[in-house]
Amino acid sequence: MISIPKSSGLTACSQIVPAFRSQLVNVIPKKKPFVPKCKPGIHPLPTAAISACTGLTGGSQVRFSHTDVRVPDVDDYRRHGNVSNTDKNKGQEDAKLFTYLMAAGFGTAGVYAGKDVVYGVVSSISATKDILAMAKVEVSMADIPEGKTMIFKWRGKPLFIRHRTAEEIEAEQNVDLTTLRDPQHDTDRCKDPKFLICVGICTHLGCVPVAEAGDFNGYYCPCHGSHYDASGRIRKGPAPLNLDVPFYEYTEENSVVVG
Amino acid sequence: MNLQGLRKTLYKGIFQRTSTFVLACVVSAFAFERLVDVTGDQLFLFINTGKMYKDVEKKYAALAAGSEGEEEE
Repeated sequence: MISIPKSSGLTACSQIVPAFRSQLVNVIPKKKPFVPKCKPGIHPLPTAAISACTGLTGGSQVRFSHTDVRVPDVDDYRRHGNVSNTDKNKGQEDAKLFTYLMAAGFGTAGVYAGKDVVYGVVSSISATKDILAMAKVEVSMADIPEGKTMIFKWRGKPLFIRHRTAEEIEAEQNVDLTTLRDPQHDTDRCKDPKFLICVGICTHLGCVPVAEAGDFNGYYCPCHGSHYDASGRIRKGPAPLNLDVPFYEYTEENSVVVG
Repeated sequence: MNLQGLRKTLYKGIFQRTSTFVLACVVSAFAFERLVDVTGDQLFLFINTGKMYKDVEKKYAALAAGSEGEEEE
Protein backbone atom coordinates (compact mmCIF):
# COMPACT_ATOMS: atom_id res chain seq x y z
CA MET A 1 0.00 0.00 0.00
CA ILE A 2 2.77 2.32 0.78
CA SER A 3 4.75 2.85 -2.24
CA ILE A 4 6.89 5.39 -3.79
CA PRO A 5 5.34 6.52 -7.02
CA LYS A 6 7.24 7.55 -10.07
CA SER A 7 6.71 11.19 -9.58
CA SER A 8 8.46 11.26 -6.27
CA GLY A 9 12.05 12.23 -6.04
CA LEU A 10 12.85 9.61 -3.46
CA THR A 11 15.22 6.89 -4.45
CA ALA A 12 15.80 5.15 -1.14
CA CYS A 13 15.84 1.43 -1.64
CA SER A 14 17.36 -1.68 -0.25
CA GLN A 15 18.20 -3.37 -3.47
CA ILE A 16 20.09 -2.49 -6.54
CA VAL A 17 17.80 -1.49 -9.33
CA PRO A 18 18.45 -0.53 -12.86
CA ALA A 19 19.01 3.08 -13.44
CA PHE A 20 15.94 3.74 -15.52
CA ARG A 21 13.16 5.09 -13.43
CA SER A 22 10.14 4.49 -15.58
CA GLN A 23 9.28 1.37 -13.58
CA LEU A 24 7.81 1.49 -10.16
CA VAL A 25 10.29 0.63 -7.51
CA ASN A 26 8.63 -1.26 -4.75
CA VAL A 27 11.02 -1.22 -1.87
CA ILE A 28 8.66 -1.91 1.00
CA PRO A 29 7.29 -5.42 1.41
CA LYS A 30 3.59 -5.64 0.83
CA LYS A 31 2.41 -6.29 4.30
CA LYS A 32 -0.73 -5.16 5.95
CA PRO A 33 0.25 -2.47 8.42
CA PHE A 34 -0.59 -3.02 12.06
CA VAL A 35 -3.63 -1.11 13.16
CA PRO A 36 -4.07 -0.82 16.92
CA LYS A 37 -7.55 -1.45 18.23
CA CYS A 38 -9.11 1.77 19.26
CA LYS A 39 -12.37 2.91 20.68
CA PRO A 40 -14.77 4.39 18.19
CA GLY A 41 -14.41 8.10 18.09
CA ILE A 42 -10.70 8.05 18.60
CA HIS A 43 -8.91 8.48 15.30
CA PRO A 44 -6.57 5.64 14.51
CA LEU A 45 -3.22 6.13 13.03
CA PRO A 46 -3.32 6.70 9.30
CA THR A 47 -3.13 3.56 7.24
CA ALA A 48 -2.88 5.06 3.85
CA ALA A 49 -0.01 7.02 2.44
CA ILE A 50 -0.06 10.65 3.32
CA SER A 51 0.56 13.06 0.56
CA ALA A 52 1.85 16.50 1.08
CA CYS A 53 2.09 19.26 -1.42
CA THR A 54 5.58 20.61 -1.56
CA GLY A 55 5.56 23.03 -4.36
CA LEU A 56 4.76 23.98 -7.89
CA THR A 57 5.98 20.74 -9.41
CA GLY A 58 3.17 18.78 -7.87
CA GLY A 59 2.37 16.52 -4.95
CA SER A 60 4.87 14.27 -3.39
CA GLN A 61 4.40 11.42 -1.04
CA VAL A 62 6.07 10.99 2.29
CA ARG A 63 6.22 7.77 4.09
CA PHE A 64 4.59 8.19 7.48
CA SER A 65 7.07 7.00 10.01
CA HIS A 66 6.95 3.48 11.36
CA THR A 67 3.32 2.67 10.78
CA ASP A 68 4.42 -0.81 9.88
CA VAL A 69 6.28 -1.40 13.11
CA ARG A 70 4.34 -3.66 15.40
CA VAL A 71 3.36 -2.16 18.71
CA PRO A 72 4.86 -4.41 21.37
CA ASP A 73 2.44 -6.71 23.12
CA VAL A 74 2.27 -5.67 26.77
CA ASP A 75 -0.61 -7.93 27.78
CA ASP A 76 1.66 -9.91 30.08
CA TYR A 77 2.31 -6.80 32.08
CA ARG A 78 -1.28 -5.78 32.44
CA ARG A 79 -3.22 -6.36 35.61
CA HIS A 80 -5.20 -9.54 35.71
CA GLY A 81 -8.71 -8.84 34.57
CA ASN A 82 -7.61 -5.79 32.67
CA VAL A 83 -5.97 -7.51 29.77
CA SER A 84 -7.15 -5.51 26.85
CA ASN A 85 -7.82 -1.89 26.34
CA THR A 86 -11.52 -2.51 25.97
CA ASP A 87 -12.23 -3.82 29.46
CA LYS A 88 -10.64 -0.95 31.24
CA ASN A 89 -10.97 -0.60 35.05
CA LYS A 90 -12.46 -4.04 35.45
CA GLY A 91 -9.77 -5.20 37.85
CA GLN A 92 -9.11 -1.76 39.27
CA GLU A 93 -11.65 -1.98 42.12
CA ASP A 94 -9.95 -5.03 43.58
CA ALA A 95 -6.54 -3.46 43.23
CA LYS A 96 -7.66 -0.27 44.94
CA LEU A 97 -9.28 -2.16 47.80
CA PHE A 98 -6.18 -4.28 48.24
CA THR A 99 -3.99 -1.19 48.41
CA TYR A 100 -6.23 0.46 50.96
CA LEU A 101 -6.50 -2.69 53.04
CA MET A 102 -2.73 -2.99 53.13
CA ALA A 103 -2.42 0.66 54.15
CA ALA A 104 -5.04 0.20 56.86
CA GLY A 105 -3.29 -2.93 58.10
CA PHE A 106 0.04 -1.19 58.41
CA GLY A 107 -1.70 1.81 59.95
CA THR A 108 -3.26 -0.42 62.58
CA ALA A 109 0.09 -1.99 63.37
CA GLY A 110 1.61 1.47 63.56
CA VAL A 111 -1.03 2.72 65.97
CA TYR A 112 -0.55 -0.35 68.15
CA ALA A 113 3.24 0.01 68.18
CA GLY A 114 3.03 3.76 68.76
CA LYS A 115 0.67 3.28 71.67
CA ASP A 116 3.09 0.78 73.19
CA VAL A 117 6.01 3.20 72.85
CA VAL A 118 4.05 6.09 74.38
CA TYR A 119 2.84 3.85 77.18
CA GLY A 120 6.40 2.79 77.95
CA VAL A 121 7.70 6.35 77.97
CA VAL A 122 4.88 7.66 80.14
CA SER A 123 5.11 4.81 82.64
CA SER A 124 8.86 5.40 82.91
CA ILE A 125 8.11 8.98 83.95
CA SER A 126 5.56 8.05 86.59
CA ALA A 127 6.58 7.02 90.10
CA THR A 128 7.40 3.40 90.80
CA LYS A 129 5.29 1.18 93.01
CA ASP A 130 7.69 1.26 95.97
CA ILE A 131 7.75 5.06 95.92
CA LEU A 132 3.97 5.13 95.75
CA ALA A 133 3.74 2.71 98.65
CA MET A 134 6.05 4.93 100.70
CA ALA A 135 3.96 7.96 99.82
CA LYS A 136 0.98 6.63 101.72
CA VAL A 137 0.38 6.37 105.40
CA GLU A 138 -2.35 4.40 107.11
CA VAL A 139 -3.58 5.58 110.49
CA SER A 140 -5.97 3.87 112.86
CA MET A 141 -8.45 6.44 114.13
CA ALA A 142 -9.23 4.50 117.29
CA ASP A 143 -5.77 5.37 118.68
CA ILE A 144 -6.44 9.12 118.72
CA PRO A 145 -8.06 10.37 121.92
CA GLU A 146 -10.90 12.85 121.62
CA GLY A 147 -9.86 16.47 121.70
CA LYS A 148 -6.25 15.66 120.87
CA THR A 149 -4.07 16.04 117.76
CA MET A 150 -1.63 13.34 116.76
CA ILE A 151 1.27 14.06 114.43
CA PHE A 152 2.39 11.57 111.81
CA LYS A 153 5.10 11.76 109.20
CA TRP A 154 3.80 11.80 105.67
CA ARG A 155 6.07 12.41 102.64
CA GLY A 156 8.58 14.08 104.94
CA LYS A 157 5.99 16.48 106.30
CA PRO A 158 4.10 16.47 109.59
CA LEU A 159 0.50 15.33 109.30
CA PHE A 160 -1.99 16.52 111.90
CA ILE A 161 -4.94 14.30 112.68
CA ARG A 162 -7.26 15.84 115.23
CA HIS A 163 -10.08 14.03 116.91
CA ARG A 164 -12.48 16.89 117.50
CA THR A 165 -15.03 17.17 120.25
CA ALA A 166 -18.70 17.76 119.55
CA GLU A 167 -18.43 21.38 120.73
CA GLU A 168 -15.50 22.05 118.41
CA ILE A 169 -17.38 20.58 115.45
CA GLU A 170 -20.44 22.67 116.16
CA ALA A 171 -18.38 25.83 116.62
CA GLU A 172 -16.43 25.34 113.38
CA GLN A 173 -19.49 24.51 111.33
CA ASN A 174 -21.25 27.70 112.47
CA VAL A 175 -18.41 30.07 111.59
CA ASP A 176 -19.50 32.92 109.31
CA LEU A 177 -17.53 32.44 106.10
CA THR A 178 -17.45 36.19 105.40
CA THR A 179 -15.19 36.69 108.40
CA LEU A 180 -12.57 34.31 107.03
CA ARG A 181 -9.44 35.24 105.12
CA ASP A 182 -9.54 32.04 103.07
CA PRO A 183 -13.25 31.18 103.10
CA GLN A 184 -13.85 27.45 103.21
CA HIS A 185 -16.63 25.63 104.99
CA ASP A 186 -15.80 23.03 107.60
CA THR A 187 -17.62 20.29 105.64
CA ASP A 188 -15.34 20.96 102.65
CA ARG A 189 -12.30 20.30 104.80
CA CYS A 190 -13.36 17.15 106.65
CA LYS A 191 -14.92 14.07 105.15
CA ASP A 192 -15.82 12.94 108.65
CA PRO A 193 -16.53 15.94 110.95
CA LYS A 194 -15.03 14.07 113.90
CA PHE A 195 -11.56 14.09 112.38
CA LEU A 196 -9.58 16.93 110.88
CA ILE A 197 -6.68 15.78 108.72
CA CYS A 198 -4.30 18.48 107.52
CA VAL A 199 -0.63 19.03 106.71
CA GLY A 200 1.11 20.64 109.68
CA ILE A 201 3.00 23.31 107.79
CA CYS A 202 2.18 26.97 108.33
CA THR A 203 1.18 28.56 105.04
CA HIS A 204 3.16 31.65 105.96
CA LEU A 205 6.79 30.52 105.95
CA GLY A 206 6.57 26.80 106.58
CA CYS A 207 6.99 26.42 110.34
CA VAL A 208 5.22 23.62 112.15
CA PRO A 209 2.32 25.02 114.19
CA VAL A 210 1.63 23.99 117.75
CA ALA A 211 -1.57 22.01 118.23
CA GLU A 212 -4.37 22.95 120.67
CA ALA A 213 -3.00 26.44 121.08
CA GLY A 214 -3.72 29.97 119.94
CA ASP A 215 -6.70 32.27 120.23
CA PHE A 216 -9.04 29.83 118.49
CA ASN A 217 -7.82 26.72 120.27
CA GLY A 218 -6.79 25.17 116.99
CA TYR A 219 -3.21 25.58 115.87
CA TYR A 220 -0.75 28.33 116.64
CA CYS A 221 2.39 29.04 114.69
CA PRO A 222 5.04 30.36 117.09
CA CYS A 223 7.28 31.75 114.36
CA HIS A 224 5.17 34.76 113.36
CA GLY A 225 2.01 34.28 115.37
CA SER A 226 -0.54 32.80 112.99
CA HIS A 227 -3.69 31.50 114.64
CA TYR A 228 -5.63 28.63 113.06
CA ASP A 229 -8.98 27.37 114.29
CA ALA A 230 -9.98 23.78 114.97
CA SER A 231 -10.71 23.34 111.27
CA GLY A 232 -7.17 24.41 110.32
CA ARG A 233 -8.37 27.71 108.84
CA ILE A 234 -6.33 30.86 109.19
CA ARG A 235 -8.03 33.34 111.53
CA LYS A 236 -5.34 35.72 112.70
CA GLY A 237 -1.73 36.51 111.88
CA PRO A 238 0.35 36.76 108.69
CA ALA A 239 -0.43 33.40 107.04
CA PRO A 240 -2.49 33.81 103.85
CA LEU A 241 -4.12 30.38 103.48
CA ASN A 242 -5.71 27.59 105.49
CA LEU A 243 -3.68 24.55 106.44
CA ASP A 244 -3.46 22.18 103.47
CA VAL A 245 -5.81 19.20 103.47
CA PRO A 246 -4.25 16.20 101.66
CA PHE A 247 -6.17 13.58 99.73
CA TYR A 248 -7.30 10.82 102.05
CA GLU A 249 -9.75 7.95 102.12
CA TYR A 250 -11.40 6.12 104.96
CA THR A 251 -11.12 2.39 104.83
CA GLU A 252 -13.29 0.02 106.77
CA GLU A 253 -12.13 -0.79 110.30
CA ASN A 254 -12.00 2.90 111.24
CA SER A 255 -8.67 3.72 109.68
CA VAL A 256 -7.63 6.28 107.11
CA VAL A 257 -5.15 6.11 104.23
CA VAL A 258 -3.54 9.44 103.44
CA GLY A 259 -1.95 9.98 100.03
CA MET B 1 -22.52 -9.70 43.53
CA ASN B 2 -22.79 -9.69 47.29
CA LEU B 3 -19.03 -9.58 47.56
CA GLN B 4 -18.93 -6.74 45.10
CA GLY B 5 -21.46 -4.88 47.24
CA LEU B 6 -19.33 -5.49 50.32
CA ARG B 7 -16.31 -4.08 48.56
CA LYS B 8 -18.20 -1.02 47.54
CA THR B 9 -19.54 -0.50 51.08
CA LEU B 10 -16.06 -0.95 52.50
CA TYR B 11 -14.61 1.59 50.12
CA LYS B 12 -17.40 4.14 50.38
CA GLY B 13 -17.79 3.74 54.11
CA ILE B 14 -14.20 3.62 55.29
CA PHE B 15 -11.44 4.11 52.77
CA GLN B 16 -12.82 7.02 50.84
CA ARG B 17 -12.37 9.57 53.64
CA THR B 18 -9.17 10.05 55.58
CA SER B 19 -11.11 10.69 58.79
CA THR B 20 -12.95 7.37 58.69
CA PHE B 21 -9.79 5.65 57.52
CA VAL B 22 -7.82 6.88 60.54
CA LEU B 23 -10.73 6.12 62.85
CA ALA B 24 -10.88 2.59 61.46
CA CYS B 25 -7.14 2.23 62.06
CA VAL B 26 -7.45 3.33 65.70
CA VAL B 27 -10.53 1.21 66.40
CA SER B 28 -8.99 -1.86 64.81
CA ALA B 29 -5.76 -1.28 66.77
CA PHE B 30 -7.82 -1.28 69.97
CA ALA B 31 -9.65 -4.43 68.94
CA PHE B 32 -6.38 -6.04 67.89
CA GLU B 33 -4.79 -5.30 71.26
CA ARG B 34 -7.75 -6.74 73.15
CA LEU B 35 -7.68 -9.80 70.95
CA VAL B 36 -3.95 -10.35 71.49
CA ASP B 37 -4.21 -9.80 75.26
CA VAL B 38 -7.20 -12.03 75.81
CA THR B 39 -5.84 -14.76 73.55
CA GLY B 40 -2.48 -14.62 75.30
CA ASP B 41 -4.07 -14.88 78.74
CA GLN B 42 -6.27 -17.75 77.71
CA LEU B 43 -3.32 -19.55 76.18
CA PHE B 44 -1.28 -19.03 79.35
CA LEU B 45 -4.10 -20.35 81.51
CA PHE B 46 -4.61 -23.31 79.20
CA ILE B 47 -0.92 -24.25 79.26
CA ASN B 48 -0.74 -23.85 83.05
CA THR B 49 -3.95 -25.65 83.87
CA GLY B 50 -3.69 -27.12 87.37
CA LYS B 51 -0.77 -24.92 88.36
CA MET B 52 -2.55 -21.63 88.95
CA TYR B 53 -3.30 -20.41 92.45
CA LYS B 54 -7.03 -20.78 91.97
CA ASP B 55 -6.50 -24.46 91.24
CA VAL B 56 -4.52 -25.12 94.43
CA GLU B 57 -6.31 -22.57 96.58
CA LYS B 58 -8.45 -25.11 98.43
CA LYS B 59 -5.46 -27.22 99.36
CA TYR B 60 -3.57 -24.31 100.91
CA ALA B 61 -6.66 -22.87 102.55
CA ALA B 62 -7.19 -26.23 104.25
CA LEU B 63 -3.53 -26.31 105.30
CA ALA B 64 -3.68 -22.80 106.70
CA ALA B 65 -6.88 -23.54 108.60
CA GLY B 66 -5.29 -26.70 110.02
CA SER B 67 -2.15 -24.93 111.24
CA GLU B 68 -4.16 -22.10 112.75
CA GLY B 69 -6.28 -24.59 114.64
CA GLU B 70 -3.14 -26.21 116.01
CA GLU B 71 -1.71 -22.91 117.16
CA GLU B 72 -4.91 -22.00 118.94
CA GLU B 73 -4.93 -25.27 120.77
